[in-house]
Amino acid sequence: MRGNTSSIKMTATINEKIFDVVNVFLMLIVGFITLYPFWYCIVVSFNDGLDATMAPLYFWPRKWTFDNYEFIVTNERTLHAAMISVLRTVIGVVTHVSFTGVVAYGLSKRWLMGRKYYMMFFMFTMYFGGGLIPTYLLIRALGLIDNFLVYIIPSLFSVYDSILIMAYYDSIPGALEEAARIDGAGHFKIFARIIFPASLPIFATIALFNGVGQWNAYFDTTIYTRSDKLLTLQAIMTKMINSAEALQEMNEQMAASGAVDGFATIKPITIRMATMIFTTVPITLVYPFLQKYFVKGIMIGSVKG
Amino acid sequence: MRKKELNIRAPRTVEKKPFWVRFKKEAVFHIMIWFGVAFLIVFAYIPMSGIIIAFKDYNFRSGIFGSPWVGLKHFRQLFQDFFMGNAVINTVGISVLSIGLSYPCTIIFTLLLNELRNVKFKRVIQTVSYLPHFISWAIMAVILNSMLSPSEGIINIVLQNLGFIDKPIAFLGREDLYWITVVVASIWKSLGWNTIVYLAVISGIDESLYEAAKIDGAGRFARMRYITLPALSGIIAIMLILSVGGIAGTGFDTSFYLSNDLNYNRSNTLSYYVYTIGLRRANFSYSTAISFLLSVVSATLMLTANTISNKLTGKGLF
Repeated sequence: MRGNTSSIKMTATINEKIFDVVNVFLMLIVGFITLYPFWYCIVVSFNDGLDATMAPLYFWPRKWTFDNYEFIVTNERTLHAAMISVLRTVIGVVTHVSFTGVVAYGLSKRWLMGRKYYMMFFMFTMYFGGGLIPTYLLIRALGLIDNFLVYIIPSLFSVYDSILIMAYYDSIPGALEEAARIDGAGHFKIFARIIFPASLPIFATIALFNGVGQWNAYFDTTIYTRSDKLLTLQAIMTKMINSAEALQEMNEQMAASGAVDGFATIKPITIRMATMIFTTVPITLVYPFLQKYFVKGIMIGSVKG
Repeated sequence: MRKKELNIRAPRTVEKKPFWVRFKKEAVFHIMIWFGVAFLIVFAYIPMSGIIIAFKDYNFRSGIFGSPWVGLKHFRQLFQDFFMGNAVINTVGISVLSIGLSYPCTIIFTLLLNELRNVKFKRVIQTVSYLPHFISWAIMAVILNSMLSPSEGIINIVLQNLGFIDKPIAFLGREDLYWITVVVASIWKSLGWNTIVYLAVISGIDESLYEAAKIDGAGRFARMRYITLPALSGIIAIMLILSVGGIAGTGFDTSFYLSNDLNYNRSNTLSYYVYTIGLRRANFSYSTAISFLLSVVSATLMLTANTISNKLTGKGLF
């Protein structure tokens, strides 16, 4: 009897061991499938352009070079675009988080007169919108076409984010605020000294989501800007993908800037990969450090959403 | 006990002060909210009123108010437009395929992740699996173009070496493969990210349930099947509602970057069609008519999905 159960247990543990091994193996495959495309792009970006067009590359650069990156960081157009990308992300995130945070603070006071109607007014916009053309006409009427502010003002506020923030404010014990009020702190001081510091995790989450959104945005650049001075990195990437002319343009630019002598064998394909890595690296460096925050933030979102 | 509590709280809520006295005390918070109200009036409600151009023949010179009324002309046109019907088929097709494939994949991946014993390894896999979520669709397009390229894309080379295919496949240049290609690509991009919600719910499951099941002799699969999965049913329902609500808007990014003359019949999705008609061909009124219809359909889908979910599982969004 006893021997029997233990043998059942034995097979159970052996099965579990097998499961564990298979599981780890499967996860390694998923990890590989996720990472390989990035690795491939890195490999191409460090390879000589002419050489890359002759035969496919897989795991390691055949002919090492830094020329592609050197070309990017000395190319005025790319550098300017990088600056615009950084500016729109930094300014956009700071203004978005502060604006949305303040509105959410007002909304979080449940005893406020008419709060129900405010909420209805806000929520309705989540389910119904004007659509592409009316929004475009509005942006045009506001004079935001070809204006840097088109990256900032329309994304000042988000109803969804304000709901997330509100849910977080709710979890802060009311006694904290009460105590500060008794000590004579005003509304501004309470917000700045108590509410904001206590809500840092949610602000970090929103900042990350919004920052990624700003950094990755391409559509507003495509439809709301005409001149090159507002091009972002994503817009440059988009141009490189969508039109063969952009690559041709780049070739001519290279030739014009005398790059032909300096970088004899640069090709659009390797430049494209280098630009891609250049565009991806900043986000890749940031998100692992904010992981514990955004996991929490998403949870609030799905419960309250 | 209950009554006592009520009594303590009662004075605060019952207290009736004159409107202005109360308002003055609350004014700071109202002003905070008004910032949001002002923003939404400008950026949400004014565009909503712009929908009237769907009932007009908009032209640049006369503007929104000066353009002539045409009633339901654009809505009638919509039902005779071949590309409109085509876009409906593509949008629904891609959505259904995407929901049908991504949910099982995500849930299986979540369960397997959750069963990893080595915490460090688990953390690494999680972090890696989030990475594709953070890249833009421009970058996705670069990756897809190079991975799927018929001449040197690794996917074609692997498939050829394994003997599945004789000749390289131009995944992005064929109508019949467009749906599955973008669906698989989207799953690749969002698989890890989508597990976050489910993992968070799993971490909230009472550990003693698993202990009790273990004592009763339940193996790993039994525990997954009878404890973890039921605990996830609520959140799965909520995520499904959100997906269904988003069907009408599916596919803009993928079509924007991956649509070409060769696959247009299968890559022409509704949101992309709104863009093509509106901004590429500058037919503002017709484009707005389509997007208005899309908005209405989205809201209806969301409400319907929610009602069904409430009826079937007792869980819904609102």
